[in-house]
Amino acid sequence: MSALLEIEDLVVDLPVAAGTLHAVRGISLSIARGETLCLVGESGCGKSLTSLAVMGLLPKAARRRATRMTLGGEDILDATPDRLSDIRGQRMAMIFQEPMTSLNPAWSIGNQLEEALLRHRRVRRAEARDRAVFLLEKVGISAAASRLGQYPHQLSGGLRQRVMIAMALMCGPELIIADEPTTALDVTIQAQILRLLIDLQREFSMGLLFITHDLGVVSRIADRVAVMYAGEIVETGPAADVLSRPNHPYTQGLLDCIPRPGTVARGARLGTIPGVVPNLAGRIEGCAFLDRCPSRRPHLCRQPVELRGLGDGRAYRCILPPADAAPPAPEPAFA
Amino acid sequence: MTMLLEARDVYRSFQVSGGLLRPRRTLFAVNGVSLSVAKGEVLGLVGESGCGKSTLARMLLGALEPSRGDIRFAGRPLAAADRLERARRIQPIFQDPYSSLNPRKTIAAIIGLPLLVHGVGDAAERRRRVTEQMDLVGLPRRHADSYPSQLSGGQRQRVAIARALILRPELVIADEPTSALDVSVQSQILNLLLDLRDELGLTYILISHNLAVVEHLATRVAVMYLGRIVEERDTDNLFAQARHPYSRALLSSVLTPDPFAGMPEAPLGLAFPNPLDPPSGCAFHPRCPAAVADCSRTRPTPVAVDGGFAECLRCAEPAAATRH
Repeated sequence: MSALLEIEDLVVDLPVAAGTLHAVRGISLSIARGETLCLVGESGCGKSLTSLAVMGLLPKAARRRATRMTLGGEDILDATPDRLSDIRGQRMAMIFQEPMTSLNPAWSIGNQLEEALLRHRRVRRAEARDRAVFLLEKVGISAAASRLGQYPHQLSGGLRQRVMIAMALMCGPELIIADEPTTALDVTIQAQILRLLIDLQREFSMGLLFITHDLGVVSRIADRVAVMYAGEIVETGPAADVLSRPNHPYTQGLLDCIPRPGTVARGARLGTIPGVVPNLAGRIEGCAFLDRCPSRRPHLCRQPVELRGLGDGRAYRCILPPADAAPPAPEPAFA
Repeated sequence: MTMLLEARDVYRSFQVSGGLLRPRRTLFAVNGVSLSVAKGEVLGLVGESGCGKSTLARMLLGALEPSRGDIRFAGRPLAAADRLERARRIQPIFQDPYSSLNPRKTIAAIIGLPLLVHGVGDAAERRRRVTEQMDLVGLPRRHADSYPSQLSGGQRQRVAIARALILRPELVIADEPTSALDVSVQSQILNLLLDLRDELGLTYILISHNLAVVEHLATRVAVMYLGRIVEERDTDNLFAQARHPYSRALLSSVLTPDPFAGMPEAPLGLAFPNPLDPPSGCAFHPRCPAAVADCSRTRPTPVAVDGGFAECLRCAEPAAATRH
């Protein structure tokens, strides 16, 4: 599979009163067609800024640089604003967390859906309308044609998010970026929306960059996962491997924090990650997780820690040996 | 077991505008709920948005009068107690520690405010109690003169907990206490709530949409749907074998980080019913995968099942295991 989205060494700096906030500190990732990559981490780790940087939608003051950023071979790092505006919507589209704030309350659903297509493609309004109805049905909205005249406030949260998904699909994008699209929804609706997103992604063979803080969601939808901490990817690999045998102490720590029936006894103490995220306004030498890490070796961890590849698609940013080095591995050791 | 809190057949309705020139309509937010909480219990209250769980919580707190039915606290009608006494014995913890703390007061002033309102001790005594309270919830003493904006979300929630517990209430009603927090902070707050329960002998009502959290903390769980408790069971029994189809649907939507589980089939249809126009018979029947013809005609009544009750015409029949 050829990579659809390729990012090399992405850096995002934000000017703040105290100087410069290094929000994203050198991220590389790639997504193939038909693949789901989950970017997971806690508030402030830079996962949302990473997605905005890909879309070219960073706040004005933010400074972005990268060695390379391509979508289907096309450069999106130095694309002109006009070209980028065409790429957005045509080749990649984004779904946000709160559909109520991303939909225009004064426009009908039909108008907003049609505009997405009319803006980017030479089509007649009737064709745009047909496509809108087709996609609304695709995202599981019944009586789609009669919904076109409705306004966002007339729809429930789950329906609005379905409309957002339909809107993202209007131009048939190759890449979908979804930033916590189900966080504001009830659990039952969340399951439906995730299911829908994954089914559509497979059907249209799109790449999906899914941003979330919820490892439960990651485990159910991701092909691969990248765990972010303090603006860096600290661990990445096939989701099932990373979640069942994490190599980085932060990934392990996150998993220990979650009540997991069957794994953690009821009422037992949950794991915690003591301390707080380092201030990203300053320079961070060495491992950013150092102060909170239960396995730290200060003299080693103060030097820069590289992302270490293991050859099986996994990599992690820690000096510790991989977690599965101790028990006998099912495959011969990687030489 | 002595019951700390008992609600019997509680209703609460609101008048809502039907629109321009249309008559006002009655919305039954809580529609005949009975529940009791024993001392030392943790009762989990779960359900989708709009099911009436927050309205119920506000009534149990004494902040909202029921339209019908009565609520008794420690054997006496809740309405008979005055506001101060209720506040001394029942305290809420809210979801959002950003909006529940006054941004212009120092942490010490926020935590100590209930003492001032209730006229407890002199200034020195209050200061001592505040410090003691900060130690109890794990807030560094140096934050006493800080303002909420200088604290992280987890620390703010500790402030809210310290304030709620300073009068040593018997019952704490926590409405989504951790859903605004990151997972690593959530686990610290959950640990703290569990420790405080043991240490202070607290009773909790925990409202949450996060069923993994509820399963971890609660001893008993009540599942609400459209203003009624449709199933109430011991936590073990509910999670091992839920009897109401709605509970089963809720449980199957929980996404634990199990890399080999895959996506659950979402069993519920789209629409949460309009509470202004509730379905006939069993309110759940339009979304219910197990509905039979009778469900749209007959309103189910509670049926005793292992460790509690369920309100479903078909729950006497054997059910499949729920854990996916």
